[in-house]
Amino acid sequence: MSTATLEKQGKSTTVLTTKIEITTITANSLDIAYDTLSGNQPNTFGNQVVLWQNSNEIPFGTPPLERKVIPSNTQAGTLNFDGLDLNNNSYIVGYAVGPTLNEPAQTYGNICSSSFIPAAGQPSPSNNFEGTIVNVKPGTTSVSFGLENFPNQIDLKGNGAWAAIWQAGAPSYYARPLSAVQITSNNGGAFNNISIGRGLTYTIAIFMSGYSATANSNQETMAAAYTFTN
Amino acid sequence: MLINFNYFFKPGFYGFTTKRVISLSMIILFLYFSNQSSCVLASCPVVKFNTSNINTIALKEFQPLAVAIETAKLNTCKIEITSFTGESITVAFSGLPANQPSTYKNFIAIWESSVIPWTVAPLKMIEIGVNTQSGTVTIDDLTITYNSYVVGYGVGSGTGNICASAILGAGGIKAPLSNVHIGIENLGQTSLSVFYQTLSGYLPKKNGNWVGLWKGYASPYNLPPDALIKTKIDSYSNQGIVALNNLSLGRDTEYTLIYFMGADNTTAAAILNFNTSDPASDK
Repeated sequence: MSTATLEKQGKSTTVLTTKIEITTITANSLDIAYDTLSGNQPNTFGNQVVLWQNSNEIPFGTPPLERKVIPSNTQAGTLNFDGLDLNNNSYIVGYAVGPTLNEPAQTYGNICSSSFIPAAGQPSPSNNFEGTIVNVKPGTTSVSFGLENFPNQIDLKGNGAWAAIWQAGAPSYYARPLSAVQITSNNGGAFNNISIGRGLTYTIAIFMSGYSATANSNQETMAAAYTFTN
Repeated sequence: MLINFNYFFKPGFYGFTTKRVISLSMIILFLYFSNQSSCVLASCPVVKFNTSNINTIALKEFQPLAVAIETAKLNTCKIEITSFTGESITVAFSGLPANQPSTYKNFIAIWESSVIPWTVAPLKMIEIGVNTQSGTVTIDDLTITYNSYVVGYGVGSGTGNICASAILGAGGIKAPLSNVHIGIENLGQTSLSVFYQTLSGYLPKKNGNWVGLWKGYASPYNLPPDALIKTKIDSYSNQGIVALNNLSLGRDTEYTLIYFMGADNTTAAAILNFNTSDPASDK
């Protein structure tokens, strides 16, 4: 069993993330573009965009300046915030892949990606963060994975985040996974007790909330996915 | 044959002096017991002969039973650390042939130590949930510091069944693996001395370790009811020799020796298959 990442072994992998970008900013409005996972229905699944005045961190404990539920069910699109009074301060917007959560979870705990505008600055792609699945290491009967670029102050465990694995080339909002695990660390997790076949293709996805130990977990809050061929 | 027979048959009283009779008898004895050390023969100034004329069947009567070269096969359990992060360790385990880790309650445990602290509860213990002889397990929800960690593989419930370990050394260096293994110390006609080694600090007697011997290729998970012998390890020492007596071991026969960690036969930790064929034979 190799300890190198699949990428370093030259194996084919596909990484999917939820993207959000501030495209223009004026004194009264913000234009936002988003691109979510294939199969997502942003309106049905309660996806929303949330705006704060802050440094480049999602301030989970602070009430936002504004929030908007995505009005359509297209997987990618744009959204405009108007009627704002924006000054030269810095602002951050987060994309939530589900509705607001109830205590003890973080209210906007479904935020998996963000875009930031520095004080008196212009939108820049380097200020965007997308929660990503990285360092996937398949064993024979287990798979471990890492998580990167999720909001620093998110509490994945407390919000009920979970991960799923399918023997498939893409994640699914409906198909039941081979295995599901609760995320207990912001840095990653692992699936145990699953046989990983030679040369077969698997997809791992992370959901920001909705874990259930006893029933099927909510499969609508998918934030990122990673497909690999063993 | 360069024996000077004239020495024995000199004229006068038929040539048979007491001294000459004794000398002749000694030569006959040497010829008969010719499988004895050749240096004795070499030191004899009178006798030089070729041993190829000696009957090989007679020779074999003086050979002890032995394990045929290259026929002994040892199967053991193994655990290895394949990767780690600051919060998790991934291990690859491999059990004995035909083991069913989930059914037999095999587990992986981890301690923050360089040797398994047998009296201390592990940081985490994960039951293996698959029935595959070998596999991988990721232990997560940990904080892996720069200290040493040791992981153990148990072949039944309870830490007394741990038969293999691996160390993540301080600073991330992987140390040599260790596991329970057995070997043949000595094989006689009616006895067998077995060498055993368990993990550092382990107490075989306290945990009820035992060995058993079966004829043929036996599997611990489907044992024949007629063991040739079963013997408990009557020592607290983690390594030593256990004697199996009153056996009747056949020539050129396959035997299976199995080391068990607990009373249940599914707690087998090492299997040694060997053959008693004579290494001096032409086989």
